[in-house]
Amino acid sequence: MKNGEPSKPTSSKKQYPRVYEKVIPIALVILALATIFVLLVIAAVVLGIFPGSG
Amino acid sequence: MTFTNTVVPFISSIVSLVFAVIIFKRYADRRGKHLLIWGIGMVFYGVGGFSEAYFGAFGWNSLIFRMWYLFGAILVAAWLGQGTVYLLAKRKWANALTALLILGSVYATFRVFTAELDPTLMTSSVHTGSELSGHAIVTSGIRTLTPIFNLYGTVALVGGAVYSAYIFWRKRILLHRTLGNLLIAVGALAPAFGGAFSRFGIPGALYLGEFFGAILLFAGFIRATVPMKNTEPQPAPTPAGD
Repeated sequence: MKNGEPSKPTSSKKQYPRVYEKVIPIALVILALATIFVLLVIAAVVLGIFPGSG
Repeated sequence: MTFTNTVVPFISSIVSLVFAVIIFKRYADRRGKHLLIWGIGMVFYGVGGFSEAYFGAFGWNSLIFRMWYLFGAILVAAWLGQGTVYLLAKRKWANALTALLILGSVYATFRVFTAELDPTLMTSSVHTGSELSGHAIVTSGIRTLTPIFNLYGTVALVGGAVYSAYIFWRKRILLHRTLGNLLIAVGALAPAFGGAFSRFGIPGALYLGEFFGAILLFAGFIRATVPMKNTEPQPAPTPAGD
């Protein structure tokens, strides 16, 4: 509903092929989490929690 | 000498250098600073892999170690990330960051090539000495440069690829670029994960991470630059009963 008007029952939003529609958002979430993990490891190296830096 | 510490990094080096040639050829055809800087980054990747293979095959050499540490450990991620910065940031910001990166790289080169080394220290901590390790550097202050460069490189390269993939996915356009950026992000993370597992004492983890990283970066670049057939986004299906 917008401004009191009923929304249209059809959608013109484009979609990727079905398999990609399912896989891509999962991959994005996993990659985001993996990136955070790596950044935390690098931060731990900077702070001296890990034994070395390379 | 083992397969993991000689052949694997050697293949990584070859893949990286072939990839660099393809990027430079594309730069010659189309221009674009991102291509030039990615190409330089992949040359660094190749030098790092070659140095690892040399150490695995022939043993310690201080010049090879310095080349490995400078190009493979410090500079590669930051330079690859800088290429991505040119795609996502305004040109003046990208140029300013490139100037900073060049200054930082010159400083790192000076520090690494004047450092005091002791290869026996590579067997300290969890490292076995079968792989190259920054533990061999005696001079203080040099190894603290590595995470700074890698932090910048990871944020720029992985963050940039994930962000680009998300934008293409949200708009449901250019599927090949969405997939290519996902592969690039995984490829950029692979060496970082390899390095993290190496810190936990898993032998070969770093070299394997770099190997898969080189292949996935290459595959991602090819995927992102070659449109897919018959995968143009389609209108969403009409709800049932309509």
